[in-house]
Amino acid sequence: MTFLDALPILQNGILAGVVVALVSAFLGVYVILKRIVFVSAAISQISSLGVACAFLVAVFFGHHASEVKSQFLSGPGLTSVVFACVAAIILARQVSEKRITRESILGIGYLLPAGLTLLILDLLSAEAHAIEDILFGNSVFVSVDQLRVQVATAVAVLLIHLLLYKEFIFTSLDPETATACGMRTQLFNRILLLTIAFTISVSIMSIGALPVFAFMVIPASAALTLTERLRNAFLLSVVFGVSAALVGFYLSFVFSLPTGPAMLTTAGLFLIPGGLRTLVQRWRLG
Amino acid sequence: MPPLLAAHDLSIGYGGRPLLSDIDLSIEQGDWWGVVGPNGAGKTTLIKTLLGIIPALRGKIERRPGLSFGYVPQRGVIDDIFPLPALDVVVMGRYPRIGPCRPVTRADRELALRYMERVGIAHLARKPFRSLSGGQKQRTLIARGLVPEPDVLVLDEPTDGMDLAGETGIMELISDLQRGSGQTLLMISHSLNLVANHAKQLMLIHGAEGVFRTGMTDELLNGKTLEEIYHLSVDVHSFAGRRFLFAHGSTDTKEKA
Repeated sequence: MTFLDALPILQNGILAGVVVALVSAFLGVYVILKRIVFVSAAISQISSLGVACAFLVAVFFGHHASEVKSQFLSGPGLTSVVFACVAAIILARQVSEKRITRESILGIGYLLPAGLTLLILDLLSAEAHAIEDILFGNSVFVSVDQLRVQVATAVAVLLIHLLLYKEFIFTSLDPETATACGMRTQLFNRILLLTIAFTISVSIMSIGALPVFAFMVIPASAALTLTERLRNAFLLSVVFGVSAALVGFYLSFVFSLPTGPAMLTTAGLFLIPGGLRTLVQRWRLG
Repeated sequence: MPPLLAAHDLSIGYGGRPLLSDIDLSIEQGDWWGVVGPNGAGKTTLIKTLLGIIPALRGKIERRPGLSFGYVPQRGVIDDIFPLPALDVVVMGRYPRIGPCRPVTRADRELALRYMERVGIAHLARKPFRSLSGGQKQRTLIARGLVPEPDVLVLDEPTDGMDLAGETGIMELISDLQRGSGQTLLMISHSLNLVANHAKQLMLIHGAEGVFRTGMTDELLNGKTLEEIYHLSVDVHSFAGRRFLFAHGSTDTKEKA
């Protein structure tokens, strides 16, 4: 079977991958600029814990995992989003770093949910397959419902960013000055983190945690090494992300590779031009 | 005419712990305040409290209705990872005036360019901010502080880490702004010599000692007051219309001896 023959079966997966890549690569520019890469890692783990908790509670009350999975949007999908958003609000708070550093909090925020999720998966080993499908995503076969949720999330998030672009940039670049000039810095920071949390929690159920994390980090990193204009960085990041999703998906089909890692590795190729540019600049400076 | 900004019985600090209490001050239109004191004295905490960046622990801050601030942070605050041309950094000063969900207009960009011209860096408008020298970055941030056309411009250590030429250039620029348009200024500095020759009014702070003095520069710049703040024997001399301050060592050491 050729790729074109399989396209009708794969189209939801491809579309989901493209939409996730587009919105994640866009948000990734903020993730890199605000130096909050590990906030997105922690949010994805906390979001996964939300999914696992929904299954645990349902099974505790005598439901089967497949029933929970069929009520995805009112069950694990909802708990995933709620857990991620609560985590984002907590992580948006400034902490005094005298006793515990921000990195420590993020490390704990990543490790504890990861451990708890694995424990829950072990407890529900009989239902593990159904849960893992949601938890780690299935980039190839994405349901129409999931695709709709994904597209609606992307549209809403990009619309918010279009309307509040100035505010997000100023409060990210220089929060103190923004506050001094009368901007509601904390509010804008919370909204920005909520859009990231919402995107992560919805996206990991489409294509899995690893590719989402990769789309948040790699295209933006590649773009930021290539331009001195912020708008170009957003544009390049989105182009790199979407290209990596499409090419990665195609390569995974042709060479029978796992889709998520194929997309991630393809995204990594976009780091090469920026790396070369940096090397040339250093060489010129001697 | 009510003052632009007044503080009554103000207590400042972090996490509920007061650093300095019983602060009373009044800032009028056209004032040029220097905020000085030793490292860790509470200068930045006081200014951030007045600006509303951190909450006051006690007391009252009265701002004239509609009062606006321009803030010039230390240039190291701006993360070089942001790929922004200098003009885009300056235009940001307009954002609070433009408001959410509204685009930046050509008029905003032209105004930003005018202020870049005023501080002598219009030719750098398209250069990446991160590639500018320390002095050029500071001028960019001053232009950003001015572009909302604020009632009060607040500068936090604008000459910190600069060489003599950079320091002189920035201080001349700030003084020109004050002379030319009567801009109300508040400038934090750890350099008493610098402030002594430019600011009309002084706030002398030493949080750990609970000392807070305000007044005209001429009145406050005397050995007795400076000894109280710095625990140093300080001579104040005037020559060719300029003030020179010389410290002679710690008075604590002398007392112990």
